[in-house]
Amino acid sequence: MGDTVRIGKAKRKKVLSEADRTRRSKHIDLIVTLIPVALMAVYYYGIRVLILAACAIIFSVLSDYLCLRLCGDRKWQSYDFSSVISPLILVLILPASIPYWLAVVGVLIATFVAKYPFGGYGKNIFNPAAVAFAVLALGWPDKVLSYPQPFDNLGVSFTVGGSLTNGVAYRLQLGGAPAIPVMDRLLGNFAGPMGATCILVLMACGLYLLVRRTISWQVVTGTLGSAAAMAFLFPRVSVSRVDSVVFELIAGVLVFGAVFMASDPVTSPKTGWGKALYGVLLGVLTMLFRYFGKMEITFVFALLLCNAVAPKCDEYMALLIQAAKRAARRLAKKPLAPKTQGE
Amino acid sequence: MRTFYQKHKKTLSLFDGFFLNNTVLERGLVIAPIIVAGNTMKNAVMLSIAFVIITFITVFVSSFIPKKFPYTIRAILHTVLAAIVFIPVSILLQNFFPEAVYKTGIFLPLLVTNSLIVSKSESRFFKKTRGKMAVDLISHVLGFMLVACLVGALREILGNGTFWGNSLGMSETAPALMFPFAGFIILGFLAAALQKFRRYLNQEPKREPEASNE
Amino acid sequence: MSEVFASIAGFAGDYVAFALIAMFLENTILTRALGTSTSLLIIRKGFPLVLFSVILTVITTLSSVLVFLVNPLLKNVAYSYSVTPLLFVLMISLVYVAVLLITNSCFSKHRQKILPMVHLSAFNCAVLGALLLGSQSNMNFASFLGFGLGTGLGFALATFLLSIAYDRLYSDRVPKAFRGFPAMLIYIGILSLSFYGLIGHEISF
Repeated sequence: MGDTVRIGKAKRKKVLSEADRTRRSKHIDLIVTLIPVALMAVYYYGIRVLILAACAIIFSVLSDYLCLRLCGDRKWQSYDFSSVISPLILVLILPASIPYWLAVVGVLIATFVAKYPFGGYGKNIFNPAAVAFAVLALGWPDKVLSYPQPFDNLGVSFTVGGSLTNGVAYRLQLGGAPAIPVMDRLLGNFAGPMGATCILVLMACGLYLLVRRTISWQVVTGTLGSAAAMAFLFPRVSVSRVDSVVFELIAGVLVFGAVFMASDPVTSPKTGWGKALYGVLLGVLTMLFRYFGKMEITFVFALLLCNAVAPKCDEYMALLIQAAKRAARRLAKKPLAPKTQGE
Repeated sequence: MRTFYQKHKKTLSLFDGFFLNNTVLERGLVIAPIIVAGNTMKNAVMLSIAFVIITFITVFVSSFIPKKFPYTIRAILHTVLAAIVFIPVSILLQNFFPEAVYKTGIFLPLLVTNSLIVSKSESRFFKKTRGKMAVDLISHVLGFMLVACLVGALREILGNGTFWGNSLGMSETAPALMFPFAGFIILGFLAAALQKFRRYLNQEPKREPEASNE
Repeated sequence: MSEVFASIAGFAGDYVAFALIAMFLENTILTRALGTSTSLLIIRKGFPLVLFSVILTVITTLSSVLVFLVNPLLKNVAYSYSVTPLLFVLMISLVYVAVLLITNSCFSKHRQKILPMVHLSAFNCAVLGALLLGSQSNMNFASFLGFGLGTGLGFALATFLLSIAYDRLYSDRVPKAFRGFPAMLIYIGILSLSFYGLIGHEISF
């Protein structure tokens, strides 16, 4: 926690500790990178995206504040921007046609169900945006898993008229390859979650966050690498293996989730090897849920399961490494075979 | 309220099973029927009626089984007795709620092996005198009924937009509430509210500072 | 010969398929809340999870064999819905006594450790639930057995997942109102949510 310093007769100013400063800087990095993703969503779907984001953030901040007051002695930490980041992440993995009230319901679920019963920011076990999306997807699949086409005129009314379509993930589930030109696949010019389709922007943001060490390279590469490997080895559709990898990566919220959700330092493992195992597990589970499950968006469900086993990833990898080191030491100390007589 | 509770704690503790030490919310027993099948008021009422009758009769009659019988025999007799009581109860429910009984699925027959019969009878109820046992037992079974009906009503109204199968004309509903995960979460919040209330009742009342004599 | 091989392969296929279904898609704790209180008790008392799951699986599997044999008799019985639990409880009782006798004779050195777990698992909701679901679904023999195996494995998996967070949910990190059982219920609810991502819809019960 920070110390307080008195600046003359002025109010005491809280000085943040090194750890808190790092946390704040990471939060700011995340917000900075979410902005271009949100702007791409605005480009494709219009001003409605901004209104959704604003509603979500306002209700998130209010509900966070209410929970803090209910908890009594817990103060709002100045490094904590989670009440801005979580709702923004949630909104960007939803379709642009989502009713405003449903986005608000999601935000309230994230705060009241996923965050504060476990102790609030820094103590939650599950990623709040993932919990909220999972509940919305199961409860309102017609509203959450149907998408407008980019550049459709959605307007700003409470509900969106016009036709909605299924995403890439749904078509892959049925065994069909979507007909999307290559550039559109990278730029996100196809129906899908409003912030999760523009792969190029997501990769650029991911690179920035990796360089800034805000997210963990082990988690990101583990997740995307294992998912890509499974898509290559076991394609769901009758296309080339490379196309299978591309479609599986652009489907659902896999890339967005790997960059913005999986590396959440609160809910992911703490050690490097633990993060690597976690990333691989997440990618594998996401693909297994796609192969055998009924939901088209599976990343968030796999993420919830991985959040639960995150502490065990650190523990088991530590044991594995210890065992490997012991084995290596034994091999190094093993004496040479004794010489037989006559040699 | 807190002062009243603390003053009469010994008497009120006889009825603890209904509210403060509720079977479901405090002890975590018999939660499966509420979480999975208790998503409508009708299901909740049927499960509650069956639970009250089966559990009360089984535990009360089982209390007459001599303690000298080995535990294994007693355990088998408790459960067989519950299964026997289930027969007339289920026939009665099928007469009053035709077809609706089957909507509770396996959870109505599963009441036969509920924790109050299988474990709590030996570890709690049989240690009391018969009179106090009867009061405690009634409190526990009614406590289950309270939670089941509350959760069932909440989930049906908000999740389905109906009550007792009759539409309430709501424009939007929350179908997610019909899933078992919502049952777990709702029970979690109810348990938290009860835990907070219990802590409040058991807290020492704040003493006002004595006025100085001047 | 090829027919024998084909029937063995068919049996094995059904057995494994239903074991996986019972373990994941119809996990006894996370999708039907059966055995939740037993699971929490095991974690609290520190019972060895693997041993308990083996005992639960053995009891469920042996009971499944008996229930599969007597199930056809119930089809033409009046009030079969009402009589079924009694018959199944009698089958479980036979298995319970048999397991106790085997424990006392073959595992007498470890009986102090094993017996409490046998008592706990015999009339468990998970066991009776698996039998009721199996008979309701008109499964064949291999599927019935596989479902029993999957029930035990699924119980073990769910209990393992609950044990990871158990100490944390009872610690000071959690607000007092939610500390312990309330937070545990919400935790189980979110785990159940993640499993429903595999299922995608409400399952029958």
